[in-house]
Amino acid sequence: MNRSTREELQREIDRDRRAERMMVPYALLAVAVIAVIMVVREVFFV
Amino acid sequence: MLDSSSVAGTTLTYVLLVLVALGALPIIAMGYQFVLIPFHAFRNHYAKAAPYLPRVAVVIPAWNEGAVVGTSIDNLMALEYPADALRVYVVDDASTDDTPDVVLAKARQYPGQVFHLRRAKGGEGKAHTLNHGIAIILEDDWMEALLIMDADVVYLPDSLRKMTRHLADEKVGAVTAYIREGSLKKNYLTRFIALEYALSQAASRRAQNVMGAVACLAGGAQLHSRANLEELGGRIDTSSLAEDTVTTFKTQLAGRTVVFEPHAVVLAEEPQAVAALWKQRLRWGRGNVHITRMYRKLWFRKQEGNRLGSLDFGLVWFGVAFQPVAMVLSSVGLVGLYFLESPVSAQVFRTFWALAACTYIFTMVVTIALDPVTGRKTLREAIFFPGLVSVVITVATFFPGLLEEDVPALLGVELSDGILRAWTLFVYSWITLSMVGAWIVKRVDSTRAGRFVSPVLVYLVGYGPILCAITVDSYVKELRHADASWDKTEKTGRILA
Repeated sequence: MNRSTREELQREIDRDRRAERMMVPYALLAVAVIAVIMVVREVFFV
Repeated sequence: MLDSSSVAGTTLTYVLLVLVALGALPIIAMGYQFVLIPFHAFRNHYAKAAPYLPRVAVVIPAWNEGAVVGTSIDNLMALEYPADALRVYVVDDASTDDTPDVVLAKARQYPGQVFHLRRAKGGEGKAHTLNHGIAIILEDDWMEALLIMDADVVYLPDSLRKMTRHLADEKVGAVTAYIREGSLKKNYLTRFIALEYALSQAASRRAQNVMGAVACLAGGAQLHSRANLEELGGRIDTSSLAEDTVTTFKTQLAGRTVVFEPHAVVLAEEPQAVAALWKQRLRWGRGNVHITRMYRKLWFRKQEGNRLGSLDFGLVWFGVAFQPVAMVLSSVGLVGLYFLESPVSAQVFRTFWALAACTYIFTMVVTIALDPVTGRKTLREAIFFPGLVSVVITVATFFPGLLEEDVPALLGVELSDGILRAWTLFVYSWITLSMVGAWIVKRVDSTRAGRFVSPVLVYLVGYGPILCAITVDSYVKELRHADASWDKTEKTGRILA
């Protein structure tokens, strides 16, 4: 494996590693959706 | 002083509450898995991964795969992977179609890279076929890593190199990829399966990475280091219908890590009819029942070197295996409380159903967000995964009075006490009735009307209950020791290449 290939593959690893950080906002988005439904419930149906 | 009937009533109430609580365990297990997913941002294997392109031998078991195997070989040859580090061995399990001709033509087209290995006697199952190829591959020391795949799957160009990078860490024994449903023309069922794969792989496998214990290397995408394969005895277990899960367990029990690589995507063709889905999943389900028994001394017992015996992995494993039983227990508990006229029954029902609804919404939103390609195509299926009936019950539970009072008032009608009681009893029982509905879907699907009626019924009853009903069927078949021949899912080559 030459140096440029190695560097390119390492960049790919770093890119995918950074992409995993999106898991946090995805989970927060899911919590937000549930929170909105709960608010609608509390305001209009309880 | 308490009278005996009061004590009996109180005791029975507690028993029924325990049943409902047990019924909630799979929901808690699912919720737990999805709560772990954000931790994959920090707890993953990328820090130990490194640029690594070992010599990979690909072994493809093939029985009458003439329609698909040629495309699969072309696809492998087009991977973004060094050509001199890739060899493909097609193990022809005594095919009676044109599989040998197709593979031999590809061997001539890609000399020194594609090999045709033929078993004289076939039909013994995938594991035997794989072992024939693996034994030949291990005869020399060319192979540094072995990729086990199915004849019909399509690897995206960067997928193999995204898998091999984890083997740079010698502690890693095997790597698996994200199998995505890849039919060119999707129907209602393949859309449900696509969503299910996003849920059970792209999402749940990330959680298993966090837990440090992976339940299964996907049969169509298992990359093993040579060291791991040799430690497994150089062969795949032949005693189970779920040989891929046995391999996954054995790898981890030997102290090696199994990694799920979510960015390595492999497309697979999946069943387009309920009957074919039932056949495929029954095989998987029976394999899992067999494994649950096979590793009965492993569950919930901490072990040095692996986390398969941990409490959380056990919860996740049995959360799936135990789900149909849990559904029945929760129904029995809720209906029992109703007939006891327990003052807590409505509250218990609302709490149970709200827990299920919140978990469901959380899982679906996370899943769609982390695989938007699948998410965009399966929004309808994401809503109706538990079935229209369950969605209506969820809405009725979440928004008290909406269906019992507000909607009837809009229509100018008033529901009598009798109708309300019947509705209450129906919703308390639906968790179990949905599995009966799933069984009816299977029966209808095999009739002439099935083509038109099945889709409607699946959306009504739900895809999730169908999976649970298949699990029940797998229990029954295993208890009856029914014939467990390896029954291959038919493939037609309609995959998105």
